[in-house]
Amino acid sequence: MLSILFFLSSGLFLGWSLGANDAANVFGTAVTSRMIKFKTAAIICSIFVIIGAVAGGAGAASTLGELGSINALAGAFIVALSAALTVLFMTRAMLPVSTSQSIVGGIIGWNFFAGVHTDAGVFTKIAATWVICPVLAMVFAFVLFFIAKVYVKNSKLHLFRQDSRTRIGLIVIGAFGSYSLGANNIANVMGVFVPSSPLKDLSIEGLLTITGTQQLFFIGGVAIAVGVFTYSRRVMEMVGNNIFTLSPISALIVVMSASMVLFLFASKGLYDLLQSAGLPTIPLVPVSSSQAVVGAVIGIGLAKGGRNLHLGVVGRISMGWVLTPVISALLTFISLYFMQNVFMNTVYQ
Amino acid sequence: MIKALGRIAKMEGDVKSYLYHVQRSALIFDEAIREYMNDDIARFDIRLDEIGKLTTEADRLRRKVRDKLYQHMLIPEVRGDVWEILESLDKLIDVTKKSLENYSFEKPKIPDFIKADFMNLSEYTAKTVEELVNAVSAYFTNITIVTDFSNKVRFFENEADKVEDTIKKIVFATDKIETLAERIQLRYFAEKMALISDVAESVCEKLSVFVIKREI
Repeated sequence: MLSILFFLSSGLFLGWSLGANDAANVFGTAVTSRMIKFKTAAIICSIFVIIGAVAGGAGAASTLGELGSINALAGAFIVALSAALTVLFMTRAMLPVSTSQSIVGGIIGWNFFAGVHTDAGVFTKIAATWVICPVLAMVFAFVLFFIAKVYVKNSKLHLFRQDSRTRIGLIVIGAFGSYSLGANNIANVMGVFVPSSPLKDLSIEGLLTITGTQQLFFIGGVAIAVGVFTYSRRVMEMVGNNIFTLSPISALIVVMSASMVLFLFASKGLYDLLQSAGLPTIPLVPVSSSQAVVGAVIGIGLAKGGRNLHLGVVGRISMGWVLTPVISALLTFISLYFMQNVFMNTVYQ
Repeated sequence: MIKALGRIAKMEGDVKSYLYHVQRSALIFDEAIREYMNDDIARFDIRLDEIGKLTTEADRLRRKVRDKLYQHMLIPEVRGDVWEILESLDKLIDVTKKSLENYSFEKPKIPDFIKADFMNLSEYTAKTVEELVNAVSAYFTNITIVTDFSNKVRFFENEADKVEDTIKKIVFATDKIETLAERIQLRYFAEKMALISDVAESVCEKLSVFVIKREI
């Protein structure tokens, strides 16, 4: 049990880091603009991230599994650790980073080390979503901005009533965003452990069965929640004060757009529905909530006529698309070598 | 949730009531000046008393709104702006009240040939405040029409300035006013009346900036 926990620790660290950083994308502006108290935001975020992870995390995790099924616990440990360290280095270097891109790099690194063929089709599908994610968020935000503008103009709501509705909206959309974050990003945190997980299915009085994967995702969800409670406040203050200053309604649109994108790339139900209707499906892939937020902010900027738009950020994101997986893959490859030859652990079967 | 909605409805009512008091102060002012010009001092004194009570009530409402705004963390983004608007309107009521009090203390002798101009000035001043109240009200409910009311505020303030200048010219050109002290006193009263519309215009300028901040 102790060794299982040890090997899971890198995933838990990744989960903690995700909670600390990405909760700010959902509740950052609401908290720093004092529309919602941090405690309220943290409780809602934690509950819905766990629900999202357990109930909706399977889809995106299975796509990661298609890219590379890491079949040894020590291998999964290294992949998650390398991904987490890459995120840490990139963040320190002030470069935009995505946990999703980092974990994909880690899996490819493992594939190389284990001599497993990387499915180019799956990789292309995943890489394409990195570009589509911010672009889609931008389009959503652009459209939602005009809908909101027309609504505010025609509804003639009193300032206090508008404030109250925005507050409710920030809570509801924040909960939806947290659910989507859990459903979409739990694959980054715990996905690599799924094939080698020793956790068995649990049956409660024969009424309810909790699969081993769901238990794993629950643990990951809790790690994210710990990250939210222990560290996200600082990140929220940074996001809310430095990166973008939005009005509460614009903030609501940004969170809504980013959450919709995360949901689209995580919803198995929607995937099945589109498939059964013979329509093109949206791949279930973990995407970056930070980049979705940046895309949505650009969408708002464009809707406002392109004023104060810093397009340099787009270039930095593009650089992250290449740099993050490459660094993560290299780090994984080197770390796997040490794990196998110095610490004598089986990193692949 | 129901409690919060009830609180919001009360806040809306308090702000509305406060704006009504501001508007009433301008109407009372206009009536009081007319009564003074018609030498109806008894009725003028009643108006003065009325505006005194109105100021006290407006102060109470303003503090109530301020306390609720900060206690319940409402409209954090524009709370400072709303508070500044209410404070500026309070200054407007004070200037209006002081202008009437000066009539009561100094009892200036207004020559008949200039009374109509003083009443004109009072009317334009009252209209400036009335349009300002409409603009502030629109700030809370429909920011797209704030500019329309702001334009009216500027128009009436400009008209008030013109009448003020006319009064000054007449006062210093005529030989029907005997002493310089009387001329200076009349100029002072015209300036104090026009000051109300000047304050109203300055609130309006602030409002124009706050409207931009309220755009989503």
